[in-house]
Amino acid sequence: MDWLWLVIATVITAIAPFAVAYLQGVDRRITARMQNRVGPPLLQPIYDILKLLSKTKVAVNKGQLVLATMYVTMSILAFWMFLAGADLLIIFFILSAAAAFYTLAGYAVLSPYSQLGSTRELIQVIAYEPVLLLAFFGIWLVTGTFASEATDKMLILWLPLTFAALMLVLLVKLQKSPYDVAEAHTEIVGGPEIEYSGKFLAMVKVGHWYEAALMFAIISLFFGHPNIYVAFAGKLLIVLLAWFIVILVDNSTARLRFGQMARVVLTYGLALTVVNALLVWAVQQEVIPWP
Amino acid sequence: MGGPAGGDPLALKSLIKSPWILHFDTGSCNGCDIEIFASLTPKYDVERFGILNRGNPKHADVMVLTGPVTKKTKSRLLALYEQMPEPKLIIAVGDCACSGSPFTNAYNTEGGIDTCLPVDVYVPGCAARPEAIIDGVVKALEKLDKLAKGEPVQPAHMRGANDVPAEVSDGNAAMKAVLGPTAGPAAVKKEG
Repeated sequence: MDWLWLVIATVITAIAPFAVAYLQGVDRRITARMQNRVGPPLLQPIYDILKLLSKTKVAVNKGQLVLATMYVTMSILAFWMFLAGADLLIIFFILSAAAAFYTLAGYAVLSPYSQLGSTRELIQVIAYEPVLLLAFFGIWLVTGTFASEATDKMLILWLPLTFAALMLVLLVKLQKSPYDVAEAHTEIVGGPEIEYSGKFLAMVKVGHWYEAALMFAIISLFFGHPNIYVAFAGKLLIVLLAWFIVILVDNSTARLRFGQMARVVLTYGLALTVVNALLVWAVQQEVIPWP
Repeated sequence: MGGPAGGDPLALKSLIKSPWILHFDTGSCNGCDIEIFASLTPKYDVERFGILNRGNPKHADVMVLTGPVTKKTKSRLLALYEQMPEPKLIIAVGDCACSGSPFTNAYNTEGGIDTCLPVDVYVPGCAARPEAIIDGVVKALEKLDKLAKGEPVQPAHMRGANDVPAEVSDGNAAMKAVLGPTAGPAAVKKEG
């Protein structure tokens, strides 16, 4: 890790929201095609953000804005640290801090929907964090390091079950059906983000995009190859594959209750990661013969 | 100020490209509400214009109102209007919202939406058709566009008595443009 790489990481962090916005535009188009309609332009998420930025400033209280700013800062920091090759565990804690600030910002206003949404957000953090942590543990078992720097190893062959568990985490983290419990637009009207408007809503949305970018970056760890071009193409492919799976599941399921979400993620998600970690350990200790 | 979006052309373009809707029933019979929901379905697909139904005044740009304003809903209507960040537009959907129609002078209603709030676009019809509602939203956005170009239209919430009147959507023309000249109630009358 040298200075040049830090500069590159900063540049990538600056352009990441545009990439995620474009991916979300593609998502809205694919979703529309799955529902037999035309769908919005590909740049629709960018238009939405620009529109929100142009609206007048309205805020409920300063506390919420401070906490929301901290949330966005923490998400950006987590993504930048990932690119800079920091420790996955530190990234995990910074991501948790981001989620905590987001929840507190939701609690900072007395709107019942915001409070309900924040409680659900907390429960989903409790649900996905052990799975994410154990997924990092699995990565450590295979590569021998917690550093987020790209490894040559093809992790998807070592950790297929962990990858499946991460799909669950991705559904929760990206607020996709059936696990879009915290923001549930048709139920609690956006949950923690209900009280933001204009610029501040745009800011929170950009924070979500950075979280999505970090999740995709974690997914991209699962494809490694000594040849840098093959590795890059493979990483892109695996991210797009994961994104397509998320869209497919989003369009073919209805929202579950937050209890059901927590139960599925904490049982199946945890079981998949633990079993996978045990299998990797058994192969490494030559308990199970492997060619 | 210089109009909506501070006169910035990019911000204005994005405002026109992404109108988020708040739908509020001020005392409608639900006929027009059903038609509004019909226009959100895949058949009419308003999302291709960037229109999303948000159900939250703080996120919304366009208020779509149905029904005559009853005395009970008036305070709620005003509260919702106050919570929307500017620039904002109001569309009155259906005959009742446009003028109070059969409920004019009823003891429990105030009349049409324009007795309480400045309306930008009137979409007549009982019930208004989805084509007419989409046309109404498009007309509202055209109004914003005119405003940006400095043409003599003011946003409804700044409008005085002597300014340019609100747009009226022609639902039948809009429907014919979509379905062809044989569609619509006129064609049905001829056959019958």
